[in-house]
Amino acid sequence: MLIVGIDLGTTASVIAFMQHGAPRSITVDVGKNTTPSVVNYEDSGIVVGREAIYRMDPAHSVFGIKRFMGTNKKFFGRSPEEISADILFYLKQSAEITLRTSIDAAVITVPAHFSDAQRIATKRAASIIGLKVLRLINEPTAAALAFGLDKKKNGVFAIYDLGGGTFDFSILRLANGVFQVLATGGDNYLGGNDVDDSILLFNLSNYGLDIAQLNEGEKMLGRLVAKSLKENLGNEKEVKKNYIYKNKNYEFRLSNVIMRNIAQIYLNRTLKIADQVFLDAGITSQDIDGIIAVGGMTKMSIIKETVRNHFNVDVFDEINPEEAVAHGAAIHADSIAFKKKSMLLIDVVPLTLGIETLGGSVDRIVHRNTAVPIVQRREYTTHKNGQNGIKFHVVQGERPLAKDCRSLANFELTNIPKMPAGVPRIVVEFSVDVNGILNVTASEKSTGVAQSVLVEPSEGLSSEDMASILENATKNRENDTLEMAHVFLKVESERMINFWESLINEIPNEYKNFVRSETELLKKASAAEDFPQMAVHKKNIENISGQFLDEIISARLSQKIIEDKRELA
Amino acid sequence: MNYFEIFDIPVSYGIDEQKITDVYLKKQQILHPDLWGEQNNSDVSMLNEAYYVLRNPILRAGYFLKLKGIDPDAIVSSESAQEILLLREQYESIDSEIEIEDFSKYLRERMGNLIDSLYKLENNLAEFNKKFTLLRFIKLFLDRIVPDAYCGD
Repeated sequence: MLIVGIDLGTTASVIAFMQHGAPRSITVDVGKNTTPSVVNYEDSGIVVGREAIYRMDPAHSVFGIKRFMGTNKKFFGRSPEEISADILFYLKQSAEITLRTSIDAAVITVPAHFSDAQRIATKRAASIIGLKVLRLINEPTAAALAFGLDKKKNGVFAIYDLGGGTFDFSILRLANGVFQVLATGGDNYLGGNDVDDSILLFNLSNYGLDIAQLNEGEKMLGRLVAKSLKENLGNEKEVKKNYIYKNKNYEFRLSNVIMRNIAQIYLNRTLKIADQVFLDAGITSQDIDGIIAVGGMTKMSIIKETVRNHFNVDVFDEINPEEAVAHGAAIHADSIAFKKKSMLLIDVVPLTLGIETLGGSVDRIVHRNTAVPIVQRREYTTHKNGQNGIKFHVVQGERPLAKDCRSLANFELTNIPKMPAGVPRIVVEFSVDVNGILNVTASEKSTGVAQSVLVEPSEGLSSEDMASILENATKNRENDTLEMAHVFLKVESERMINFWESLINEIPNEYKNFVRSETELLKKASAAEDFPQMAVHKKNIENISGQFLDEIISARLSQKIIEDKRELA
Repeated sequence: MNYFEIFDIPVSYGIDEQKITDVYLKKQQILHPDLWGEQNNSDVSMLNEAYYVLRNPILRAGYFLKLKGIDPDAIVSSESAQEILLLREQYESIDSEIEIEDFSKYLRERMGNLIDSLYKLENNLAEFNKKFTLLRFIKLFLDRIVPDAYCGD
């Protein structure tokens, strides 16, 4: 039995566990600790991670599904919950194979700013694959756990978390194992992907191309080229990469100056949010002991530089920005599963929760930055004689008008005994649990007749959808874990054999022979269904291929050898 | 038990924040559901609510008045009304983002002044109530003109 922490990211995901009191990432995806959150849906089956990218098959791939969590959008007939479930399934099964043990439960991280519907969707994704969610924790808080445990520091710290798709900024007090969140803020639609999009737009416009003319596949390729320009820029003055569009070659460029200009736009947005979080926490940047940078985007030096200059405090970047969140989740999973008293995490409600009142304004019931768990009650009454029902609209957000906030749920309390206006006492109770998930109940108190209404999110899967998905999922995944693991190992091995056989000539010479012989051995073991041997050789290949796999993929991208598989346009 | 009693401090507008936080964290250690299960949830919720209200200078002022048996004024006094009218005029003449930023900064400073004055008015509750009412109106005003940048999407 194993309990893990999972960072289910917009662009990449990480799964980690505690080993001898320290968090460790589990090697999942061809010898890497991070797995791209990409899923490819082909007739032959579902492929997740680097291989899904390698397939270069945007027409059947889903990128960044996290951005659609809690919405009704569908891709290839699948809900965001189901697609996220496929990523989780891949992480879980691969980790089970690597560690040779079954995983029973997990702490999964979400952006601190995730809404109620997004949190519920995340939990449902896990339940689709039968993974028990011990807790959802906020990503910046998880990063603080990893930092605090590692550095054994006390003080007040801010977490600046800029990932692929989301931005969070939290201020925490770390005191002898207690992690208290003072305030948090963020934007669910701000991250490295936006920077990639801007780089793409800039380059397209240099050639007089309009992004609206590109189909999804062409856009995806463009974004990958943009992303790789961004990542390769480093301290160079300018980097170049080819982009193929309608069989024509365009040279995309990214200079340091342009990168700075683009980054500045997004940085300013993050700094504005951070300023507000300081106001909410009631402190200034001079009161904190430092800012901890996490999220893949913070690897760029311009970001750390700007944050340091804006707040005039130290920026710590010793913790691995890509794995810290999963590590924090693993630490917390271990702590709550074994009820360890040495650590305590106190988190807050990220967004104000309220009810729409007459005239469309919001009656704020749970204020943002209140610590969880929290229960708040508010009394309402009828405004017509004999009125026997009352409608409630639950909203989330800071704006004074309900129409500007996010709608969470609508419900009606019915069967109120007939009474004159103003007499019924309708008590609405908002309760936010330690996962940050809201439960609303309403009851009429004056007659002693209590009636409760449980609220369902307005968007995302309904309970009925969920029930039918669960039923199918259990049917499909009835096999016990070991058998499943064997099947998985076999499929993975075969995939790996094909993969490396087709790429053998692109492997750097010093590794070529090793990969060739290991692939042969894996083939033999697979044919004999010798699972322990398969695991050994698969592992050997993974370990070594980590050194050159990304280079091969990016080389293929730029050398336009991609047409060999299928037409993109 | 009122919120001040929870933290073992006297009912007063002025508070010792350090003490509140110390008591808060100590109580969390013996109540939090992660450590002891869900059975204490209503106590934890009460503790969290009390901590939030007492640390927020505006909510604390309202709570302090309530404990003193005084209803907050529904309308502002005439001199306060004048100030609010003036602020409104100022706001209407604004035509750029930067000016809004400066103006909201000014409003925050003004709120800070009013909060400072509350500490000195603990023994003059009528005057306390007046300042508190003005403070609430300015806060409301601020909320409307600069709804926080990150409220949902």
